[in-house]
Amino acid sequence: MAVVAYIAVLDDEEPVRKALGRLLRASGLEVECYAGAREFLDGSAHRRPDCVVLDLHMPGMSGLQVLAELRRKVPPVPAVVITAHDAPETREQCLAAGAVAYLRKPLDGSVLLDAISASLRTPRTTENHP
Amino acid sequence: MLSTGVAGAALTLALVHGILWLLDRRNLASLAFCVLAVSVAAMAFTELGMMHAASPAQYGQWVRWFHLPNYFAIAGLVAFIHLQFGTGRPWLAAAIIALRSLLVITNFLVAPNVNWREIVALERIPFLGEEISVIGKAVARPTAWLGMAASLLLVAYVVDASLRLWQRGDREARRKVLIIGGGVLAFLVLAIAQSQLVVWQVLRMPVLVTPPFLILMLAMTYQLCRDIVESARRSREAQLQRRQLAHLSRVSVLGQLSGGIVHELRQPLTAILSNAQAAQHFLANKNADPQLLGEILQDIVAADQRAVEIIRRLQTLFRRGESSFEALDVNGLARDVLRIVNSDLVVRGVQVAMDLEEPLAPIEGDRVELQQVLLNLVMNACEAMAELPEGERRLVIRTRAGEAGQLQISVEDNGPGFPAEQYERLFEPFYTTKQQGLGLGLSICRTIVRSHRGRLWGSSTADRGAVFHVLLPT
Repeated sequence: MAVVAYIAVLDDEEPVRKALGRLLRASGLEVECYAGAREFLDGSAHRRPDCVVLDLHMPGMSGLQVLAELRRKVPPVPAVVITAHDAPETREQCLAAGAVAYLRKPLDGSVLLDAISASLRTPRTTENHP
Repeated sequence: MLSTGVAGAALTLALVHGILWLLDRRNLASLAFCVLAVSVAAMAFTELGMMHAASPAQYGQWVRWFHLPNYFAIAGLVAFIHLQFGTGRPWLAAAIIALRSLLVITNFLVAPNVNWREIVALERIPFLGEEISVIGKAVARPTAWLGMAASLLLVAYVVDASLRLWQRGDREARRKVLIIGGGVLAFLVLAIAQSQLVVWQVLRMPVLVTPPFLILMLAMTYQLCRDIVESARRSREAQLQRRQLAHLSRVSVLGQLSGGIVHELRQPLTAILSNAQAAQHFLANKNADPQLLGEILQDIVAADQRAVEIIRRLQTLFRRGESSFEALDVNGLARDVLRIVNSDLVVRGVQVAMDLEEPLAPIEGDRVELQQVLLNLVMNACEAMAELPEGERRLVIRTRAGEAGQLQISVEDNGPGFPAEQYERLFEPFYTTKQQGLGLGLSICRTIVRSHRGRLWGSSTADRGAVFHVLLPT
């Protein structure tokens, strides 16, 4: 029996978080949703996610700070960054900080699933271009 | 009859201009006119007294009392020309008043008056259908020349002020010179000529200064009415321009917010798309739980409604039109503004604290204009904190019930603040501390707040940040 990948969704927007959770579950993934960075870091201490879908702009601790935390873990936890505020410099920053993909909201389900699959296979960097 | 008619007309004009001055205390020309018109009415009364004098002594008394309202009439006329033309030489005006004062004082120190040493006899003549008294035989007093000198100085003052105004060259100024300057000169020539011819006993008729005065007052009234109509037209134009400028400024702030607005709209769109794709997956895999599908559809509807609400709020702010005052809940207004800027604040890493006093009495105001004021203050605060490290940028929006019938909204940041003397300058048009920007935002905000009978000012906070207060009547 294949092991089901465990994905953490981290987004301060409740409707977005809920919808992404549903989408990933509908695709057969196991999902846990978090509203904030602190809540996620506490939760992930108990169970390490295989991949994190990470919103970049959140009140309090930002996505970039979470990304740095994920990179410090051994081995690093892959993260797909999602954002509603697209700027070329933040994409560069995120990819440099170790994000495996940088996706702009509203994101197509298949693109997100592809990015997660890719991160689960090999921790390499992908980009989606506008 | 003639004098009674003049007095009645003068008092009517005095009443109209008195009311105009009471309604707008800055309109000093109307006050000057009112003084002139009341004085002319009093002069007409003394002229009537002269005509009906039964003895030389009575006639002498009426001439003496004639000089008092005449003094105020001349003072009113000089003040009117000074205010209307703005070109009269002050020293000449002062000389006229000084000479007239000397004349009036002398008038009450000598008997029977400043014009005559002695009125020997009166003569009864027919005038406009009735029999009236005029000087029959009298000895003139040399001080009567004081009046002549003061009148000639007045002519010089008016000619000089008219020429200087004419040289300015614009049509409105020249029209004023023709109407008022021309009117005053025609009156003076007529009045001086008539009174002197009577005093020299060349003319056998009563002293009648007031009828030409009335014609002059009509010319002055015409000019004042023109000024009022013109000022109302300018005020309407200025109001329209203010509204257009406020709209431009609002659009400019919304332009700064566009990134945040796009961010705000992308959230419900993401929820809609991901929910719909999740439902497609469930249906394709034939494991669709009807209850879950129902929840998904409900969430899609909610997200769509949120997007519609964002668009509605924006449309309202982009609206250009007349101000419309309604009862407003200031706390609701602050929350609405925060919803509009929320994404921008998140992106800028600004933490917001709302400290709203509940409940607050409603205020009468224009929703869009007051939202614009708060938006401006919030955006300025964000920009002021741009140099602080993320996590230290704190914005506080506070509402408080102020003294009776007022409430205060404050927008506070913990940026570097401004030197105390700079706060007032921030409200000057085109004064800016930003690299980009016209420096009109705060100036327009103050105009908006003033149109709500409120006050907008800035000051430093205890920890060096800036706080801007809006005080509004409830």
